[in-house]
Amino acid sequence: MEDYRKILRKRKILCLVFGILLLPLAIATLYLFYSMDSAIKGSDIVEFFGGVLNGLRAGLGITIVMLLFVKAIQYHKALKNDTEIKNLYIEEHDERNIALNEKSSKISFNVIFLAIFISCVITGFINSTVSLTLLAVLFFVTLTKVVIYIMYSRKM
Amino acid sequence: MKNNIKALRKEHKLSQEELALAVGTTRQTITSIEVGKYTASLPLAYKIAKYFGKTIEEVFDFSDLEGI
Repeated sequence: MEDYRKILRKRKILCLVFGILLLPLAIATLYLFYSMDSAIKGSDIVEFFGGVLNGLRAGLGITIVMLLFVKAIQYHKALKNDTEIKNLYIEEHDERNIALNEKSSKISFNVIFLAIFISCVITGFINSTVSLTLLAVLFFVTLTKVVIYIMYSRKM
Repeated sequence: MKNNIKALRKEHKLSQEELALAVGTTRQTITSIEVGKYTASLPLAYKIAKYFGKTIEEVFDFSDLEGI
């Protein structure tokens, strides 16, 4: 458990460092959200998607920073309480949770791969740039999978 | 995979939560193992069996694997 305590300490520091580093960026996205929202001009659809993208960017920025701080507080509390640290350890190392994550990742990968492949074929008839980009994504994803597979087959 | 965890738990007057905490897993995992939705790994099966003072074969029923 002492090793896990060290890991949590490191994680707490990392969360705080990244949280503080990203805080100005999050504030900037929030500032842009308020200053740009009324500046988006054009047709209704342009204004709608412009607003959605603007909101998405601001929401994402704030959420990431908040999550980092929430995690840092969670680790800080766990480090002070033995029961809480044990619960956190169990939650993170629970084999069923690990198996669920592995299974869902595997299925999601296959679904995403298939979706990109279908999109690549369909967009080939409409826009060659988009189709080629999707093809490059497919190639990159496949390459990553192969490299990681080889890496793990040497480890196990 | 069938097992006697529920019966052993009742015998020892233990809740799923208590057993989970004792063997270092979550209550949900114990529930899934008890109803046969999830098969425990060898280390977890060993921990559960050891906790009840039994062998793995006494806790888990491996008859399903005999035909393989």
